[in-house]
Amino acid sequence: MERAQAPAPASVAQTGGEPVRAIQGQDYWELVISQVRRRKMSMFALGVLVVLYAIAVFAPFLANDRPLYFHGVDLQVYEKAQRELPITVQSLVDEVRNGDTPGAIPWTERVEREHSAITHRAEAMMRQLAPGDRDLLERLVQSVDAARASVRAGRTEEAQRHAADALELANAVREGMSPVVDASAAVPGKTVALTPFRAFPALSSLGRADIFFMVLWIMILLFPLWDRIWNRKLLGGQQHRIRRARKHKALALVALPGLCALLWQGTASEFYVSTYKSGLTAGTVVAKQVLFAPIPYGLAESNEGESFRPPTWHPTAEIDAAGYYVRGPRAGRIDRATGIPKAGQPVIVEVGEPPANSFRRHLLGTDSLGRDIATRLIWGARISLAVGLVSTLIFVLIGTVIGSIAGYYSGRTDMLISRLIEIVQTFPVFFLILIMVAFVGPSILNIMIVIGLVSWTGVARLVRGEYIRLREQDFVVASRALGVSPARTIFRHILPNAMGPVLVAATFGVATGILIESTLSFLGFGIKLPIPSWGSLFIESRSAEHWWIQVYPGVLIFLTVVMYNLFGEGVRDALDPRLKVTH
Amino acid sequence: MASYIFRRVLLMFPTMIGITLLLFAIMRLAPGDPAALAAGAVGDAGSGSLQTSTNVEDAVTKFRKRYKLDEPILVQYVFWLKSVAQLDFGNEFFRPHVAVRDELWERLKVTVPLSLVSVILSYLIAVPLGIFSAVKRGTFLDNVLTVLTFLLFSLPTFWAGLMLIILFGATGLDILPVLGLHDKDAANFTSWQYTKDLILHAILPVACLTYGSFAYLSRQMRVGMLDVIRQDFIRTARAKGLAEKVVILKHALRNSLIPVVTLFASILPTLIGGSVVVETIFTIPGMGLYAFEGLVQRDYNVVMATVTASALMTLVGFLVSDITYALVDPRIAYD
Repeated sequence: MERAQAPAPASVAQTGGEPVRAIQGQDYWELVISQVRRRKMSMFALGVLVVLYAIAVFAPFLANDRPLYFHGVDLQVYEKAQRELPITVQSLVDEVRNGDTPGAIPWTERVEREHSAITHRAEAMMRQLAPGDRDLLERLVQSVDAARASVRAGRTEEAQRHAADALELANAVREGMSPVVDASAAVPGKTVALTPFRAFPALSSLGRADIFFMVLWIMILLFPLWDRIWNRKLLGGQQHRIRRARKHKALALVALPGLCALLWQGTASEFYVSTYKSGLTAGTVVAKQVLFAPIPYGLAESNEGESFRPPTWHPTAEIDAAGYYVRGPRAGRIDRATGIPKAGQPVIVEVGEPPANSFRRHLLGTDSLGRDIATRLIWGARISLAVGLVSTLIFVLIGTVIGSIAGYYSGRTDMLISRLIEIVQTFPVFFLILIMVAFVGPSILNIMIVIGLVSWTGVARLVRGEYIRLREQDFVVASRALGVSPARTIFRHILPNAMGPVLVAATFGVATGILIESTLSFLGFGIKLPIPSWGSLFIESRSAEHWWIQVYPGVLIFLTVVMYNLFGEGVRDALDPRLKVTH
Repeated sequence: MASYIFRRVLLMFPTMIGITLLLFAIMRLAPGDPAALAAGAVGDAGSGSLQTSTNVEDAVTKFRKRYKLDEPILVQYVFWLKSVAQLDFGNEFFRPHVAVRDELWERLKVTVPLSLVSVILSYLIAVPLGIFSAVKRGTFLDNVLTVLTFLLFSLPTFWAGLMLIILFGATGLDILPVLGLHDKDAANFTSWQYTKDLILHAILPVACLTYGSFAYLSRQMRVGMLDVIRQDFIRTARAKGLAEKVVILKHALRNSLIPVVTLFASILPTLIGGSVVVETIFTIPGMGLYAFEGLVQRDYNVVMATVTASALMTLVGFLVSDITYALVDPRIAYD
């Protein structure tokens, strides 16, 4: 009866001259999103968070000792390949001559390895040679190919002949193809001029996970754009189709980055990892054009003579040519504590780095090994932000499942779970986490899991409350009457309606997770990886004299926590039912 | 009421057993052997090499026997429970002549006063500020206070401590001591000097312990007050011509205090967790630092004792808060 009287859909309502737009109510999530959008502070917080995640995701382009773009010649790599070529070919010759001797690795496999070692070196050289100069190397590769083919076919003698040819060619390469940079200086038969090549060293050192998160970040940033195009062009702007397409959008959001990551060919082409900065400084790498990251330091790159150097914009950071501090607590050539003259350690400035006393040299100072704090902060964002997200994911998952079961099944199940929640809630949580991490071992995964395992009670209580509220509502009764399985009722029908408070708890949870992780790391029970977390940067020095080590990581932690809390407050206000009535 | 309290106290036992059993299991199952550590420390520490000489093996076996480390976990736990029931937490692993109970008692004498001072202080500041903020809702001062408490609430404790040390310690203004609770010459001080010295030393740690709960409480106070002010009986009070002061401080305050008083229980665990951080930063020989030292040395007895103490304190806090809740709000009946 009621259905028949329902208002006609928009397409039918076009009576008269003007199209009448049907009044379509917003559903729960549209309401939440529009409410959050209205709050300037939470949108601001979201913006800051997006930037923070960008810093984490794009860290390799922001702080790296490898250039972003390089156009020039690399004598270092060429000479190394040239030197090693006869040696690798010699071992191929040995392998072929010895024949199919028993070993851990099958003979053909061993030959295969030698083959790829040789071709990689040859390719590394050919990359920097003009096509006319590649003749010897091409013939070398052909002989090696032929030798491999013969081995595969079992023709040992033929293989030996090809291998011997290759050795001869390799020696010729060694003798007659030494590199020079200047084409006019090349002596035919003795040296060859290298042709410059183009490379993107920072980019080519990325792994699959890097690519995934970079593409994901870009897709999230551009969401308003492609969401609108998808809605208008693909779905014709019809609201019910847009709602149904949400699932596809979420899938696309993950699938496209995943696809990019799968298709990504990482470092395979880069056989030699050249140390560009020291090469450029020593002259073994000659650049026509080179572009470094804004902060040209590597994550673990130590700088001699710059141990615990204050931020270089600060007056006390000035170092003279001999390596002595000009002013500040460390000034003077005589150690005040011992009375013995200190050894000066001049600052070594490599190509691409700002000058020794430029304010840009170490904007946030250095640690005990002279590593750049700014670089370590930027890379550390990856760990800190990841810990917050993953631990939240874990406790939301646990809390949702346990809370749903308690709320849906009432009775004895509910009683048991509620007691459990009560007990876990009285745990001194931080103590518990500290002990678990200290005794189980401080790996990044352990920390995430432990934080997740002890913080689920809040979410469980929220979800339980929502389920008790929703349990007797018509749509749940209807789904039960239709014979839908409890699991499906719980997770498909009720859960989407109960997720609002969980979203709020999760937002605050990320902040708490980051706080807990940094506190753990600060106390020394945290992550000890090559990549530090923000908290573990504090371990470098507890002395108040090295204030920069303690100020900057804290600023970032504080900023992130504030922004998450700010955003969480916005979402919470948006979900407040009292506001739904007024708007 | 009495039966309610009785039931709550009874419920504390399974909770305590749950907490301690869980932690006991974690510690015993985790890799790392205090017996080997102790044997290494007692035996041949100078050589630096790990020789499995009979001497060391002997020491390890002895150590295990002594602390019942060779029994199954559940048996060990029962033994532990039995001795705890007699208030015996065993001795420290690395200072075998020191009873953990006595040391813990000494440490609690530092931590409990600090925590109490910080709780009282945070209530003393938070309640008036919350009321002020709620009454002056929407004004510039209210906005400033709201932002300030929000920022303080998000401030990591350990970082706040470090910043306070940098600011007020020798590298900054150099006006406050940042290490420990007493000066090194405190033994020779007159009682007046001693008190002054103690207060000076306590300022930074107490500030560090207080600001988080204060920010949280004052936000809650503001919200609670706003909720009450909107209610009918306040309108009635105003309508019958009562002075605004009386309306706020007599009618509204009493009702808005109820939820804030009970928050005592939820700030207690944070305070205990925070004491680990604060005491480590300021090297205050309290329970938090004791727990930290125990963790670093993997001293089961110390860790179990501190955890038991802190869990007990938390549970009692919850109980007290529930009882106060029932006392201040007669509408709540527990049966």
